[in-house]
Amino acid sequence: MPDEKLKLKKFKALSAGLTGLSMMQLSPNVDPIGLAQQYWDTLQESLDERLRADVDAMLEEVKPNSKDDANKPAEPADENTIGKILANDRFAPLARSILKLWILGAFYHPRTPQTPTKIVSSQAYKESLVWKTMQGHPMGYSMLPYGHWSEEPLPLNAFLALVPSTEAKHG
Amino acid sequence: MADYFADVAIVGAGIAGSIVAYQLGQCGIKVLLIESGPAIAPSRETEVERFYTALAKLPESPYAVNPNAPNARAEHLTKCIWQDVKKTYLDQSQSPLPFGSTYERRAGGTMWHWLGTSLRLLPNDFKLRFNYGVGDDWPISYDDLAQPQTGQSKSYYRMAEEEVGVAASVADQKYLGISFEPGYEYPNPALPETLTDKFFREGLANAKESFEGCDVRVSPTPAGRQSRPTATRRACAGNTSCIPICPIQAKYDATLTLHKAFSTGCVHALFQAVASRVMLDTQRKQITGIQVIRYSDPTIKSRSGEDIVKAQIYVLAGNGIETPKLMMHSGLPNKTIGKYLMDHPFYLRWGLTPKPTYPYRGPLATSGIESLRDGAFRKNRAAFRVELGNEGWNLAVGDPQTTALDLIDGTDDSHTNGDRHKFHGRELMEELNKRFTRQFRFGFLVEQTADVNNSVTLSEEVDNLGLPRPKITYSLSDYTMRGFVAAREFTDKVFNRLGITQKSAPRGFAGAFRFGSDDFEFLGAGHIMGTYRMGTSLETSVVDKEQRSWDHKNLFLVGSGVFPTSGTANPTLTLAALSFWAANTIRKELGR
Repeated sequence: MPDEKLKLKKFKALSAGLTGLSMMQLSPNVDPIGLAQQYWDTLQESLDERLRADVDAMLEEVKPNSKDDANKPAEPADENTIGKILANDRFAPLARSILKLWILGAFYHPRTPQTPTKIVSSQAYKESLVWKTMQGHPMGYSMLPYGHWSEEPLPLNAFLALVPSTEAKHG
Repeated sequence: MADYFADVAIVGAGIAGSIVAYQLGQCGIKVLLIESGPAIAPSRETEVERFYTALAKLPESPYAVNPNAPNARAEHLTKCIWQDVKKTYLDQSQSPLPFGSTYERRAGGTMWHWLGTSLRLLPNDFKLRFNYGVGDDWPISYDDLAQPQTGQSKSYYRMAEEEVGVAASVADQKYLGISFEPGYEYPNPALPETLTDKFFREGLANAKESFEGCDVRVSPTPAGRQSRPTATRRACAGNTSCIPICPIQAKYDATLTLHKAFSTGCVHALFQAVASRVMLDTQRKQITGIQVIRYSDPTIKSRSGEDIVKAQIYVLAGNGIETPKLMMHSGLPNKTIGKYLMDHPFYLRWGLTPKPTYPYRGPLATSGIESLRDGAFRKNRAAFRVELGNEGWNLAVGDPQTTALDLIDGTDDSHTNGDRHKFHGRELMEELNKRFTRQFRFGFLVEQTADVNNSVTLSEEVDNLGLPRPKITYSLSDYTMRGFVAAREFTDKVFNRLGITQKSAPRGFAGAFRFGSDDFEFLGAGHIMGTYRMGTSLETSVVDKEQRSWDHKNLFLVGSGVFPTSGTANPTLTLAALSFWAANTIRKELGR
């Protein structure tokens, strides 16, 4: 049974693999907001015992696998691992709930996948990745100057540091 | 029980009440405002945070529920709920169609979540019957509001535009007969257009498009948003959340005017004070007082006492639902009160632009197609103005959630994932980017005829203070529905011409009707009009052209409830101009 620190590290690796985001953007070294922790806590609070066990089992698929690796920097889970998880009926709904946390900042229970139960926090709302896919800003939270809307936004890669996907598969 | 005395008592501290209070306070007239909701909070952070964490981002989402002064709410407008009086505030149990507009009961009123659109009505909007044989004529003309009246240096529209700080250019706004007083300039320069605006403006100009004999032209929308910073206000940062809340108050709201009113030293307010009854002396045609129920805590049921406010002149500045409710509950004998309820039923059409136009940036709407607001077609069908949305499909389909869920779960609620792929990783991000950067919607504000059966009456249901709740009966006439048909035809024509992929589809809104063989859905625009209309006689109207009650000489009713017809302009600017007019009449009557 991996300890909490290792689980969180695996959770970050899984999250990076699911979102395509670089580890540096997903979980920066200096991270005053700590979204990964917020989302991990949300999962733990919102899932029953059986689904929490499924999360643990899913994380078994994700590196690092030993406590020895726990001190090395986390790497995004590779596409092979993500593909295996998304092909597994037990894991895929959980993985998609995790993906939605990152994309929308809201928790969607795997049993009711299209109905949110809560916005995790105001930071989660503001930091949710969906706004970045628009090359925009959260509705109600623009740190951009007057008139920015009349110019083309910065390119997508200025909003999202995406890892090149090796073999993009549909889950 | 305490008695309060003032020269003028005003019920409602929204934009109309605040303007009247400020104007009178400046002349040394003692004013007491009676506001059903809480006072202006020291900051708006609580509201903004509440908005961020609200699951549904509705007009009322930032604002705390107040069980003492309940309000019409968008969350009540689902197919399952809207007619269920146990779950709503408005009693719409007998209404053919849902009335979709809502309001706030708090200092500053519904301006907290207005869009900021500050259009003038057109000259022809004031004489619809004269020109087209439809509806009614106003007892006033466009020039009564647009030119200074005898002895005045400014027109009422100008006063309203200065108060709201409207950003626009005169050159852009001279269309369909709109004229300005000599040498006039708007108080602030126009805001820059968005890339969406530019796509349509250039595309339609190049195509020399016309529709039913009218040019189709995109023009910047006059906005109650700061287009430059001042000592006290920030410039707009394009938060794309004018509705439900501007986080930096770059958008005008009535708390600004209310603060100025207080700073005169002559204006005071009772907050958390619900006007429960207007005391009528029908013999002498006078109002003798206003009964007020007080409560101590806006978050819980907390009735704490009753007061009476006495004044020389009384002004009701609630809205088109609360004001007639109060008057009917007080026993006003007028035959027209509460009738002719109107909105601008709001019709959405949406699609994907052929190249990225980068929505979800800038104010919610910065341009519109105003050139279709008037024409000979008004003999046969409702006119409309077309709002160009800058918020993608947020309002249309509930994005960004709907499209994101489609691409993650392999569903197709947005009609952009026909092969029901389930995406993740880089591919998900890129597919979302392709869709979101090309989303666009038209919003049609359709003119609504004034129909006598569309009404506010008193429900048998009561609120937590024991006051009757408003009962709504609402439908759309064939004339109005024909406006929807034209809007659909217009969309098809423009989308086709500009290479926009149509994605409009039924969304299951509570507001839905079939006309001919076509199904339509609509929302409310938040424009509550017509229920205490102005006119030329007691028999057919509630107030005269100065907004004075026909029945009671010391009573004025202000707000868009006085509109005899809806036109197609968002009503705030015109109701603000009329509030200046009412204030001027009251000032003269009090000899100041």
